[in-house]
Amino acid sequence: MSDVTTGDAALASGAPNPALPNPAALELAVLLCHASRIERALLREVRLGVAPHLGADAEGDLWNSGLAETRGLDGLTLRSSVLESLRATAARWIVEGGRDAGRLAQARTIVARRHAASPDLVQLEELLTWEALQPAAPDADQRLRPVLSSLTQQHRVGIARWAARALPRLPRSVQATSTATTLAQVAGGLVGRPVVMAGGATPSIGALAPVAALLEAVLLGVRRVGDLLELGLGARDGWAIEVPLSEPRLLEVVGSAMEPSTVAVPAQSLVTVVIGWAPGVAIRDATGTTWAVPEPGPFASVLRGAMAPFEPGVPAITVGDGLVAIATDGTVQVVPSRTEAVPIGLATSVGPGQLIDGITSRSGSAGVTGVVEASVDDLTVSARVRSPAVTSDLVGAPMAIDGLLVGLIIAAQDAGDGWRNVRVRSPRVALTEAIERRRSSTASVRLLPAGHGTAVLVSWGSPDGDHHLLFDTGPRTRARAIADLVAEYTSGRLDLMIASHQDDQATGGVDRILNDRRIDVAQTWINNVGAAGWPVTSSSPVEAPSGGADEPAPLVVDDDGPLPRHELPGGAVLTLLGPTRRAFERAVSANVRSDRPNAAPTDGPDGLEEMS
Amino acid sequence: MSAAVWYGDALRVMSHLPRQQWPEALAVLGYTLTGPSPTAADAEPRGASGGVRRGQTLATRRTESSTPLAELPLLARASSTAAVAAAASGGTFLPPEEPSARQPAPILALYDEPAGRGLVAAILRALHSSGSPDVAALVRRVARGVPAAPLPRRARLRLPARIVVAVDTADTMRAYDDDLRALFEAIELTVDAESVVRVAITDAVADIVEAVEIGLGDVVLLVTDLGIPRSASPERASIRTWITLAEALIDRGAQPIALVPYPPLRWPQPVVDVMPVAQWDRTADVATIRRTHERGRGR
Repeated sequence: MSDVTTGDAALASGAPNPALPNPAALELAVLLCHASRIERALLREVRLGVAPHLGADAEGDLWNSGLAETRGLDGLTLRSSVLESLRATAARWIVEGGRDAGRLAQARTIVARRHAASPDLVQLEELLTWEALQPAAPDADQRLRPVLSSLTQQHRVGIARWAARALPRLPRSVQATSTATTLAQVAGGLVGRPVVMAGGATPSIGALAPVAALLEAVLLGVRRVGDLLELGLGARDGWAIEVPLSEPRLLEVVGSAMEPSTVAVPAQSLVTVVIGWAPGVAIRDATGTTWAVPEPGPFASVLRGAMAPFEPGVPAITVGDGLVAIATDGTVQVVPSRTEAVPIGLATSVGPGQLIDGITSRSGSAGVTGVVEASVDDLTVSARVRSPAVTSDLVGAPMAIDGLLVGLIIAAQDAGDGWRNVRVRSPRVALTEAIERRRSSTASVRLLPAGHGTAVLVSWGSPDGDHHLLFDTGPRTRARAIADLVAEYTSGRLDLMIASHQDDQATGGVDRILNDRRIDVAQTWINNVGAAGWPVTSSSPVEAPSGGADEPAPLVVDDDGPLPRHELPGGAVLTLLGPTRRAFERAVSANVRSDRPNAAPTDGPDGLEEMS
Repeated sequence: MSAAVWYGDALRVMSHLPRQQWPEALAVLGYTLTGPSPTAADAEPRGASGGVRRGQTLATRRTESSTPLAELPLLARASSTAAVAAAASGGTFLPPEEPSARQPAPILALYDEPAGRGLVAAILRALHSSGSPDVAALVRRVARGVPAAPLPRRARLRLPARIVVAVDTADTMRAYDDDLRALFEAIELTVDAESVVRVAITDAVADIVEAVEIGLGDVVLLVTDLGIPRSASPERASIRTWITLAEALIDRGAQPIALVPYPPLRWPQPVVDVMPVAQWDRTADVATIRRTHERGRGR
């Protein structure tokens, strides 16, 4: 029987059971490949009635072969992975129209009679399969529509259970129908697991749309992280939306700057979608309901596996010895030292038992062996590692599995015998939080190379961007170098320049800064109003001027009362600690008397800014 | 675990130092912020550098824990679905399922009636020829130079005192579960039901010898596949297992016979040499079974 031999060859590659079926068993399998379940009595009757040349051993061989997927008290089912091959043979027999076609028809009659008392859905399943074998198969879509209607409108859960079992076993031509696709999505939602059909269409929001409004609504988590959209399980700081219950949940992401994109969110999963930074992104479900996606936070950093070369100048933050660079396109790189870049990606999933193969401690790359003990959730991992690094050095170090960054160690504890129990925080969350925190609440102070003079660049971050303040400019001889650094560090934007007093060591480079085309100075405070040679671009006195609205007032501190505070862009607050009014007036009068523009005041300024 | 823990050392330091010293202290701890802020270029899609387009699913991760969804604030929706729901309803439905009272049709037995009863009787009747030693036959054997053992015995004129039906419980025999009922019915129509003892052949095949105290004159019908299927356990697939069992039964004075749902071509010959085997299928016939026993008597 050449057809069966062909089927055997196909089965040899597809059947996982090493006990390959013999030709007799295959012949029985082909004759019964349209039956949803093969009871012993059915198998016997088909063998005796349709294949009498086969002995009882053929039944045992079929039962014990890899062709059988389940074997129970009430019979066996054929393995899903070989059904298509068996049915291809059966379809060929039918097309050839010979004796085998007649035997198949006989088998069909026996199956229909034996299963006449079976549930309607089982009979439908067998009818659909039988019809799919025919050269001119009737419209399977039409036959499945009442099933879909009964499921969605009468909420018959039994239908969902049947669909979850039967759809993956139906012929691919049936699976490919739109009703079968919809049925699979709806049934999957009700049974809580995906109904996977090898021949089915990709889950689509269009297929679900006709019935979506009839489905139960379920909650789905939504969170925007920078240019990424997270959909699925509830995320911290996220939102919830109600969507039609299907498996997977189907949504469409739409926006003015992007093509609509269907997103499938399986149960118990979190799906990350790239949506870009542009505003106006919305989510739409199969009912047509839309939700506006919250706008991204300005510092919501995003991390993903794709690596980009680390380049100086991109926003970066150091964590322990690991310098984490957030490139402008959202890629991330971890560098264990300031000079040597070691590309480390992001592990997408971490589970117990995975071997740890890398930790970079503060004292250098540590030879590490270890294993993940538990993946508490998608944010935190417990691990047990052996490392020559001291315990305190491990905290803050990046940890890797298979060369991929798993996270940053947030706690480490000696566990004896050189082992440490560590807790690792996902870089995705830890770094996002870190950068937000760093940018929103910390500042850096750079002492610029002003020789014997003073030039201090204070930078701070806030949700609306980085801000910079230059306190004195250093001497004229250093003006060019200082201006170059200011332009580099500030990207050409100074929120405020303060000239503390008229002295070359402190403010000799004011001209250079103010006239440098690379630097835009938003505000200048000069504490020597009216002195000769001072180009007053603007002034913003802390106190109201004593001499009238047009006369700038000095930056001074009263001898008693609260210290003057001035709010700066980005949420920073500048508090003046000096000079006192008396010292300031003394310095001004001395300058006027001596008419020496660069003379130092006798009681030099001791103004300090305090950032908070 | 919050980021505050991670930043704990820095925060502690910052809270105890003059603020002018923060940058230096943070530098000692390894915290530094450098570089420009995100620019307008960040609004561009990632495709330019990362090969990822907007709308592309970057990752789908299975995860078990999360913030309970019910605790999250609901995002306001922009449209209603009532009209859509009304439009989607209607259509034809499946009839409601009625519990079926119909019983499935019985199996067509491997030994079908009325021939089945005759086949069983032939197996058991033939086994009656296991009575006292047949001296005349022994003399003829010796005269022909044939070894005396096994000792030829006279045919028994009455039913054996006991028939032990040992049914193999191996998974490989499950295809024939439904045939056992018909087999027992045929046996009990042939012999007194009280003389039939049922026993299961477990993974320890030889245990049946002790389990039912096999004794002289017992007929032991082994309903088994003799480990023929390729998926049989190593114990059953070993020919030695069945030879050992047969010899143990014969040593006790019992008469074993195997009833096997596989054709003679697939029977292991060494087993056939020590124990009669009958085919359990409709192709079996009384004459063949008798010949089987004749060969057994001739051993």
